[in-house]
This record gives sequence, C-alpha cells and structure tokens, in this order.
Amino acid sequence: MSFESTRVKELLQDYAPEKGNLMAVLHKIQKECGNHLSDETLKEVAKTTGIPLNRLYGFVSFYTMLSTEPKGRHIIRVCKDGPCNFAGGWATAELLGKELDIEIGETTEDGRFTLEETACLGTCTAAPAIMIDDEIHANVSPEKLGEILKKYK
Amino acid sequence: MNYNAKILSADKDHVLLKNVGKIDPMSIDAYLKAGGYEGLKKALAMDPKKVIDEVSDSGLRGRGGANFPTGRKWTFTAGAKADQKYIICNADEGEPGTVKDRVLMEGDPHQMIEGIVIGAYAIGATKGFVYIRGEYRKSIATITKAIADAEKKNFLGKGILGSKFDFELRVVEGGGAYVCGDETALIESIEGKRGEPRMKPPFPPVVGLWGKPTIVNNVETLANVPHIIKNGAAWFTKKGPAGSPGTKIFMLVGDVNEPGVVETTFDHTPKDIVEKFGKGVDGGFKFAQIGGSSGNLFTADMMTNPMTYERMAEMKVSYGTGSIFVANETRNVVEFLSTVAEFFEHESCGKCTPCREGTHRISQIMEKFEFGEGTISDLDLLEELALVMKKASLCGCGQACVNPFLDALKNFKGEILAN
Ligand SMILES: Cc1cc2nc3c(=O)[nH]c(=O)nc-3n(C[C@H](O)[C@H](O)[C@H](O)COP(=O)(O)O)c2cc1C
Ligand code: SF4
Ligand code: FES
Repeated sequence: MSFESTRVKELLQDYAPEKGNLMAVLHKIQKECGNHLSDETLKEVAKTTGIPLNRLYGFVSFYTMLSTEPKGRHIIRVCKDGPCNFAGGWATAELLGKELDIEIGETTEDGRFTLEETACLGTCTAAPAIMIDDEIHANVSPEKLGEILKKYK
Repeated sequence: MNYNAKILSADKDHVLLKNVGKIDPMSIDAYLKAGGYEGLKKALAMDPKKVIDEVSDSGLRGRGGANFPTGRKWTFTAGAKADQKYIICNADEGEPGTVKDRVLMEGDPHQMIEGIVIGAYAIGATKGFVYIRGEYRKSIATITKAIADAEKKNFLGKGILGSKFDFELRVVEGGGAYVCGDETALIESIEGKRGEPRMKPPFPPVVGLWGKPTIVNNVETLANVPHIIKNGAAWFTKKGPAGSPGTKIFMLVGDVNEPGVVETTFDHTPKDIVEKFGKGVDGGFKFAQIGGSSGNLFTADMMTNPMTYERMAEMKVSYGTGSIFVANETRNVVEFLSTVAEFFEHESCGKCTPCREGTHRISQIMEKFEFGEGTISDLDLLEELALVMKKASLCGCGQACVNPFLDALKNFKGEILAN
C-alpha cells in the first residue's frame, strides 16, 4: 500500500456524515496528496465512506476549491471581482502570469505554483487581494508581489 | 490584530463591532470580561417562547440580504413538530464587496456563537452548524477554537450552565461556490452533495437539513441576538428610525478615499456614509452598486435617500448585504458590467436553464460591447433575457443577478451603445 493510500485511510477516520464534514476531510486529503484528488484517492474515499464513486465525482467537480487535476505545491488565487478589479486586480494577475511565465489555470514547470482566479475574498476594503494556500494577502502591489512569493518555496 | 478592514465609525455607536480590534478574539475570558454570554444566561432563565417574542418585538430582520423578520422565521421552526431540529449560521459570505461576516467572525467569534446558542434554545434545536466558506481559513480556525473554548466552559454541550438544554455546534467548510450561500444549497452542501438550490416550498424552517426543521441565519443577524436579549427589545427599537431598528454594518469599497467598515443606524443615506465615513469619492461620483454583485446601481439622486426598509421598498431597490461599491467618473459601465457578468457566468450552478443559459448569453453580449461590436438589438436581447431570468430562475442567484444590468439599461444605455 502506498503512503498516500494509508494516509487517506487515516484522514478518513474523521469522516462522519451527520457532522457534515465530507468537505473538510476532502480539503485535508487534497492538501496532503499533491493539492488534488486523484482517481485512486477518490476510489479509496468511496470505498471507506460508502459514497458511490459517481456521486463523489459530482461533488468534487461542483466545488472550485476541489480538483481532480494535479496542482503545484502552492496555489495562488487572484481575486477578479469588482472592487479588486478597480484597485488593479487584473494587472496583478497579469504581472503574476508574466513573473511565473504561466497563464491562469496553469502550473509552473518546477511545480512550485499554480495560478488561479478566485471569487471575492472578503478583503475588498483592502483591495486588491490574493490568496496563496491558506493565507490572504491584502493591498497587493507590484512591488510587494516579489517579497510575498519568496515566502513560498 | 489585522482584519484587513479599517473600522471607520465611532466606538460609541458600536454594538456589533464593540469588541472588534479591542479584545483578543482567541480568548473566551476576554469576551466574558467584556460582558459576554450574559445574554445566554438571561435567555436560559426565560421560556423559549419568550425569547422568540423578544426577538420578534425587536423588529430584527435578517442581515444576509433578504431582510426577513428573524422572530417570525423562528416561530415556524419552534412550532414544527420533529424529533430533531437544527440551526445553521450562514457564514458563506460571497457577495463581492462584502466583508462584514469575516470581520465579525475573526474579530469577535463568541458574539456570534452566543447568538447561535440562544437561537437554538429558542427554537428547540440540539444541533447546529456554522457553514463557513472554504476561502475563509482564518475564520474557520477562529470559530473552531472559540467553539472548543465555549464547550470547556459549558456554554455548549450537555446541560448548558446547569439547565436542561443540550446543544452541539460544528463548523462545516465550503468548497468555493457562491450559490451555497443560498440556504437550501447550503443545506445540500452540508449533506455532502453538490450545492444546488432546492425547489421551494417546502421552506427550510419546516423541511430543512436531513429533512428536519432548520433555521438558517446570517452571521450578522445572529450577532445581534445576545444584545437584544441582554438589553431588551425596546432598547433595540430605540436605535434608528421607526420600522428599521438596530444597527447595520455597511462596507465602503471601490473609489472612496477611505475604504472600510461602518456600523450605523438605518437613517443614514448612502451619500452620508460615503462622505462622513469614507472621506468622499476618489474622483467624481458616477454610480454605486449597493449590496454586492447582484445589487442595484444607485445614481447620484438615489444616494440621498435614507436606507430604511420602507424607503428602499418604495424605490424598488434593496441594500442587500450593505456593501457600497463606488464607481468614479473614470469607470466604464461596460467594463464594470463585464466583470459582473463573468462572476455570475462562473457562479451559476447550472441547475435551471434560464440562469445557466442566461448568464452565459449575458456574458457574451457584454464581451461584444467590450470589443465595440455590440448593437441596439443586443441590448433588446439583454433586457428580454434579464426579465425572463428574473421571473423563471429557480433561486435568488438567477433572479437577482440581472439587477445591475436592468439598472444600467435604464441609466446608462447611451454609454453602453457608445462603446
Ligand atoms: C445565491 C444566493 C447567495 C446567498 N448568499 C448568502 C450569504 O453568503 N450569506 C447569507 O447570510 N445569506 C446568503 N443568501 C441568503 C440566504 O439564502 C438566506 O436568506 C439567509 O442566510 C437567511 O439569513 P437571515 O434571515 O439571517 O438574513 C444568499 C441567497 C442566494 C439566493
Ligand atoms: S438560478 Fe442559477 S444558481 Fe439558482 S438554481 Fe438556477 S442555475 Fe442554479
Ligand atoms: S473583490 Fe476582491 S476581495 Fe472582494
């Protein structure tokens, strides 16, 4: 048994339908398994939880934060909504794309970053905002971006 | 403590923001020292029905966008017969421009939890959930810790504070889907399903989570509850104009000189709020979108009306979540609308045709105008689509997302065509 499949089993011990925590468990599994839920992983989840595999796929495909496609070690999410846009959100996304040499939705060759869009991060009073992994960065400016990226190896 | 949101109103006018930035949100003792959980103690000594009466008499209305009277909603569930009832706190805050629920959760988590426990007691729920959007990692961590601390002090758990009332509260994470803010979609999501809205009726207060009577209330709504119980309904109704009692958190975003959050009564006009608290518009005022991406567009003359429920209803608009997103004279309406169109095209859950197809078509039309290829017949089509979506969409997403487009057709048609 691979490390991942053992770990998936471990994480699934917390799953309890009446606690509504399927999402939390999948978030955790995803984080430890290359930022995505592979076919193998989902089969394991289906087997342990008793949730039919097709329903599980339906669930995962519905939610933007869950992915069946492999991602980089760090996920950068750039807010593209109104208030951030006014404050230069799109310019930030473009700059990031250039800096990392990828388009939105792509992963850098070294697997360090995946660049994505996100809906409003509730940080609009300090726009523009981006999110890297679990952390939100507010008032992002071209000057600040370089510094911020350095923190993520 | 950094909430990435400046508080612009004065301490003396605060009810909900009173502790935010003042006490350590990770410390239940700090909350207790500030007078916390006194509302719950008082509620537990009251008959549950009396608690609902107090909330009804206060005139509190939902702060999640739909303004439904909270006490009346609770009565439906209290009166329903069932072996299990639930209360859910809707913390899926996803309406662009809205930051208040995050600030309340990260700045004063116990205030909201206290409100949930009082609500649960009033309606007879023994289990509850806080559904927090997946992007709000800090809110998830803060609320999770606060729940653990409240359990240790027996504000949650079995026989709360020596009473016969048991209540268990859990955090549920979202996965990045705006539509899960709709209460029936949110319920589906907790059940481990795709977050697609249900047909109504039946409504959740009667048939909700796992088929049981369920109350869904917004974070800000529930944060008001401890204060109403502690200070009484009359104290609440005295705040603000008749018919629109209490305080509300408004958010100033976009082209204002000082963006931030404001807690104030409903007698203010949006213009007052922008000028008094936001230090005015950065550039000349063009329009404001109030209440998030599905909110109405306010032109300069509309900005001088007080935001009472009454006046808003007369104007056939709503202030929704309370965000005031200001656009200055340099902003292009087409560009603005394109951003809105893309948001809804992405967030439409696809369950019903008018919204799934409509949001896609609107997005295409806006794109045409962005490239200078739009015609007057495109605008006729836009209007027709919008009216159908308003009538025929299954949930509030498809029904309300056309508001800014219809408003723009009324006020900025010339500018769109000139593009
Ligand atoms: C598409 C859509 C998104 C919504 N998003 C939210 C949200 O993020 N937060 C919220 O409290 N209510 C949201 N609502 C409203 C809820 O369905 C519900 O009316 C509200 O949670 C009730 O709480 P209240 O009465 O305390 O306002 C949304 C509704 C729709 C149709
Ligand atoms: S109106 Fe839109 S979001 Fe709502 S159910 Fe229909 S497709 Fe889904
Ligand atoms: S619009 Fe970007 S954080 Fe709200």
